[in-house]
Amino acid sequence: MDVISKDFVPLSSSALKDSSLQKSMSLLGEELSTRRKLVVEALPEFEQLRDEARDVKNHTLAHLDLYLERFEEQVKANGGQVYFASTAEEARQTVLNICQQSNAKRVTKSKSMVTDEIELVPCLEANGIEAVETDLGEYIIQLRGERPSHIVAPAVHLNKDQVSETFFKHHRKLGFNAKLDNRADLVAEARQILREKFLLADVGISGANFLVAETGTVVLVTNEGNAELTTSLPDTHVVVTGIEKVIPTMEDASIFIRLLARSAVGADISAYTSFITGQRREGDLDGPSNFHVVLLDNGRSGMLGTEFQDMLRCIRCSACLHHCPVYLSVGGHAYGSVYNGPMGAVLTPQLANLDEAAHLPNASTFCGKCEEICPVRIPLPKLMRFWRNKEGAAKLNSLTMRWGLKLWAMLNQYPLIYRAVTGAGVALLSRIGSDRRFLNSLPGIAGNWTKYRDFGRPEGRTFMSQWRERRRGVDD
Amino acid sequence: MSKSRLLQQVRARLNINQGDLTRQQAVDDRINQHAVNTVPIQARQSHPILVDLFEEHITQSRATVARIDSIDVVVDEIQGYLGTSEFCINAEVEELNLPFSECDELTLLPWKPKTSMTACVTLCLGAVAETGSLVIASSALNGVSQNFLGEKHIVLLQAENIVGAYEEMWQKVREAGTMPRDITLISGPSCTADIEMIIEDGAHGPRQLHVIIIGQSPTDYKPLPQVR
Repeated sequence: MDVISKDFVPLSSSALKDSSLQKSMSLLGEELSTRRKLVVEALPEFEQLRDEARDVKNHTLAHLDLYLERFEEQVKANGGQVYFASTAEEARQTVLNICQQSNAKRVTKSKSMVTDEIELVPCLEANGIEAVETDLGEYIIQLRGERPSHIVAPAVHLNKDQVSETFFKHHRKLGFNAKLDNRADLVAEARQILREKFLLADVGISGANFLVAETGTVVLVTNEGNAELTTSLPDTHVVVTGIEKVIPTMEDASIFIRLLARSAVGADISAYTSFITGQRREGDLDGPSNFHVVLLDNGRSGMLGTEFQDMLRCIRCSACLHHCPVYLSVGGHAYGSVYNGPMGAVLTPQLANLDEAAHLPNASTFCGKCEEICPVRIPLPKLMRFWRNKEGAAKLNSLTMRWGLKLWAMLNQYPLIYRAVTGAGVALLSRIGSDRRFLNSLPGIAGNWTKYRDFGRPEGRTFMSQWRERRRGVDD
Repeated sequence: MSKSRLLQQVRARLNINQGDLTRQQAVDDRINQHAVNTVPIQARQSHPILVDLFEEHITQSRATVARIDSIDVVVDEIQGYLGTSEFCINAEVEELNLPFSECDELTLLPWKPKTSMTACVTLCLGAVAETGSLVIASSALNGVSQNFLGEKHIVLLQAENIVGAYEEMWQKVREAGTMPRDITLISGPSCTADIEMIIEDGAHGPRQLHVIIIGQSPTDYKPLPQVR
């Protein structure tokens, strides 16, 4: 996975100054957390379903080898093929081979984070195969040559005018000459262009939200209907997904259907939820004659049996993104990875490597909101802390930070010194700008704090010294 | 071989004792029992309430719903919705032998594969009330694309085929034999919120979804009991 997470600091600095991005992010945060709250309140069983979802995933992960074997057996029984890919390269090559064997010239793709992870589209295009993203958001960023900035709403960083400019630039050669300023018209233009792509495609590529071992079924969740057209019109359907997506039964799938759209977009369910089981049956009116499932490892199995195993429960709902103060401040591109927000901060160091992605687990206020709302109860802050420990142990962080932490640890071990130092600091700070409640600039490294936010001016004495004094008062 | 290498890696990480047969037993049991998990209380109500709940949910997702007492008036209802229009039907609707030819405003066109249509009328397997979801299944009589390539989609739903929870539908499918290639839950018209988070209908599938509920609630319906 190609990541540019080393640039997190400069990318987030420019993101903070990007007023259009800031507007999009605040809209995202407000809208989705409000909508989620409403639908969750309307389902009294929600918390219990979260427990069950966690337990189903834990059970499946503990028996992952067996569930994968069962899933493969069922797909084969329905006439399909399953391929196991240990690396992104193996997965790309497998999909490319399938496309080449079916003489594919045109491919439609529905939304899939795993295909972004393995950079499948550039690979197909380099081999002379037209590969079109059909999820509207993915289509927009494909035209712009950008990465997704959100795992569910990939173009959420853009506003309507930017989309309009993008369409105007790219659709003129297709005979669409008007610059559109109406949202409905933009959607209609993309619909018209992509409808043609659906009807002509030789191969349809999708991801999978869940794989059901019991029946060999692939579950796909969309609002647009692009997955349904991608998987029912072309003669070949290729599913590309991660090994951790398997769950035991259709009954277990029901738990996740109840949780996914509520967590992701604050709706009871999305417009379409498809359960696809193999290839076209005898007599069927449509559907592919060839059905392939590519199961990707790419570092996932390395999380089993470690402190990061919990992360494999993730269902990519994105709730942690739009409840994260850091993600909502800097947007998805700053993370430099296709996975962003808290889930991306835990996943990226594993799928790329810690050296490249060490900034991400540090990009957290540790407010705990992500863990509070995660439908499968992943302890995201704890996992980010594990990465921080590993970063420290591997000496990947700066010398200043390591010494700073050592100093801090030492202070914490000696209460008397700690109280003396903090007491002096608080006294000093209280004298700066003594007529104000907040300080908007501080000298030295403390200036990094006040560059973006104010600092509450201390009143002059530490909690401990006030506590002692009050105790004395009580004792007297 | 990739498969054995990958599964080997999984087993090594999980620290599995090769002789441990209880793991396979646990997997077989879970799949064979396919036990029902928590089913929301709103999905476990009397049938007439479930029909209302279905309608409430799917209209919240901007679909429209009509209720008719009998299939005899379904052509009038379709005409009322479509006005003067051409339309297609799938083979399941064809089998109902509805008197479309008596209706001058409607022009029935033959269905052609991989072709966009003005409107399409299809049947469904049933519906799930808890989220207002129609259940369609692919077959020789119903192509998935027939449900997606029309600008308008009209679905005929027998009231008695409405159930409370998803689990009841899976049980029906199991009883019918093998899984169809495709089962899709349709819970509203095709839509997208990818531009500035505002919902716009008609992304790739039908811009409009109209559900015609036919007939009455059955008298012998039993909602799922709560097992946990």
